[in-house]
Amino acid sequence: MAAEKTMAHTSQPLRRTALFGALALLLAGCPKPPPEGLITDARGALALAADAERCAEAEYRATVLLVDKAQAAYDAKDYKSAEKFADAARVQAEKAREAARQNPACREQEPTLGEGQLGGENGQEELGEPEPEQPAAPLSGPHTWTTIYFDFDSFEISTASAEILNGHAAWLKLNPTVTLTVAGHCDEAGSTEYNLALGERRARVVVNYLASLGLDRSKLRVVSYGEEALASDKDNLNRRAEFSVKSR
Amino acid sequence: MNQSRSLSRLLLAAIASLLLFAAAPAFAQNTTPARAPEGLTTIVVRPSSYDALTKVAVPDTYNLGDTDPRGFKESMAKTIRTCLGIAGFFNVLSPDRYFFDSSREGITAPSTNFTNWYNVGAQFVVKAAFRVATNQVRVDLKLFDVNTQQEVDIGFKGSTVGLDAVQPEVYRFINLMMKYFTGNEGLFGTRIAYVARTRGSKQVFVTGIDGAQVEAVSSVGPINILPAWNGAQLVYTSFASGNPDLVTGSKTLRTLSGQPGLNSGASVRPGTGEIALTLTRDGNAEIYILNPATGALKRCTNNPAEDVSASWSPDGSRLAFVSDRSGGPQIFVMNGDCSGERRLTFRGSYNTTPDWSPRGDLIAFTGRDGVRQDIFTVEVESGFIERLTQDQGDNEEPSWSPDGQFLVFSSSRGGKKKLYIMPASGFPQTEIPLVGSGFEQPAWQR
Repeated sequence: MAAEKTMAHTSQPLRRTALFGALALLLAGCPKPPPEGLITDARGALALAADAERCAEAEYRATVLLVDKAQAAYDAKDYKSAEKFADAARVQAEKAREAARQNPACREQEPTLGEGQLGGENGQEELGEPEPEQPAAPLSGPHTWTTIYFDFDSFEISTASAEILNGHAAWLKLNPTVTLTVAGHCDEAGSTEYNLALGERRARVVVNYLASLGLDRSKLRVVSYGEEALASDKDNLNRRAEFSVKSR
Repeated sequence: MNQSRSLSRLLLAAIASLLLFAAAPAFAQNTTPARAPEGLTTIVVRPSSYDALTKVAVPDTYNLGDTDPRGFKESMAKTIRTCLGIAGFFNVLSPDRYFFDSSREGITAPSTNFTNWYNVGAQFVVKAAFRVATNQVRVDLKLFDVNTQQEVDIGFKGSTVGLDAVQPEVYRFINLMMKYFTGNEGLFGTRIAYVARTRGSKQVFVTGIDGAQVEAVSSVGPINILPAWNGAQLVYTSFASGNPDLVTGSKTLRTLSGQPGLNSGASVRPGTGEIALTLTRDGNAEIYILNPATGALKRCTNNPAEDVSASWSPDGSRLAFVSDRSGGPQIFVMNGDCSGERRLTFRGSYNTTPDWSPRGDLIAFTGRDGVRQDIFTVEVESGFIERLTQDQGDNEEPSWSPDGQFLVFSSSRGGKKKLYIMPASGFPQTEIPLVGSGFEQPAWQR
């Protein structure tokens, strides 16, 4: 358990490699503890490159393939290979993102989706558009409500997740009438009620982060489903926060 | 007769003492290392002691009348066989082993061919008979000792009852039989609430401990969880409103607590009917005490950590709960007036779901050892921890029987989550025969 905790947030590949080298020497002959954040980080990188699915298809497919390989190796407890594939997946995801950014067709299609551009000039224009009766229809272009993932028994937002949340916040700034519900979820390990509390903690941390970016708290709702609404049979895909929006 | 009875008791005592050895290590206490010597932990009790179980034959039910409007011929013998199997102290011989026609016998000792029963390996024979006359049923249930060739008086008298009262009579007989063999009356006829995952939704159900008479409780909304008994009623957490509220009822729900955020983990205070529960309205999970009659709320914990899963002591004077204020979740206790919080478990890094024994001395809980979850008990006064399950999938969410002698829990042994029962000693562990799987969060009515 202690190992699991300390492993949780070593995001720099260099540090992780060093740590693993040291561990491998120390624990020669013992089974290595599973590196918890590995697959989560890779999936986070993939999620960040979601635009590439349309805009840089080949690069995106290559990323998916590497993430799948990392997951398969992880499931087979081949953590060395899992780490290799996960690192490669992160590099490939970055390439895919860059390729998508370079694609002029895509840039035109999604003018409001630039990362980190909170409340730009576009936002002011959108604000002036009085269409409150419209149902959840996209008020300022389509937006993919990418799910973010967490490590075991953790409610920390990873760097990759923070970037995704920045994207969500940018869209919300342009659509101030929309109410966002953040649903916190957990994997099946652990008790029903402790996981309900953990899921809520995850959702709250996300809402606090969004509020820190200047969003109106009264438009941000929290709900926890704990381990009651699993998305997958893979634990790392269940530890998540999902997003849903409603107009008015 | 007395000879074989005391022999049975001797064997049970032998099993029990073997268990004390088997149950002690691993999670272990005080100076003992977390992993105890190999030989001690790996005693395999089940196969060797299986032969020590008392062998009982339960022939098909005898219909002494002409009609059988409710299928008693089928149900009575089946109930007895199932219950004795679950009880764990009996080896119920398969009727396939009988090489003679048991239906030719009567239900008295002189009309029973004990040599035949001896030859199929039975030490005891249980005979069930009924006769239906209009809306009344004459029920006879008898225990015979093959060795002495006599009926054994376990304190059960045959009776004439209504059609609906036949099953309770069968349970009463089995409970007296349990008392005869083990010294403690059985718990057949008591009810267990649980949650079943059905087609993507989670709903609350109630079952007998023999898996009979299953009733659906919740029906509104896709997620209904964490049932707790309030006398004969159930309270549970329902997402019917979109928010996890504490409700009671079945088709029509009455909201007992609908604060924003969690309203979960109810435990009803014995005597007063007050409900300890978890609310997150303060921004994180805290234990509150709700007076459901007045709606008055008292905040019990005040800590930035998560405080969840309250469980009252049987006299209502204290509360056990889970808090992760010291890192991972651990079991804590405090006084009923919310004073005197103290940590109780210091082994393992993930201990949850406390359930305070009706006898007052022990708290059962789920502990994680490595990647697996198992059932443990902790002595309230000493903090002494004992392990009850090991190496059989994940074992979670223990709930005490009304007499504090048994625990029901969910286990993933065999791949899917099902409900199991075991004595407080940890052995034997038997499955509640429910159709399907995906069963969890059991709560024994008490």
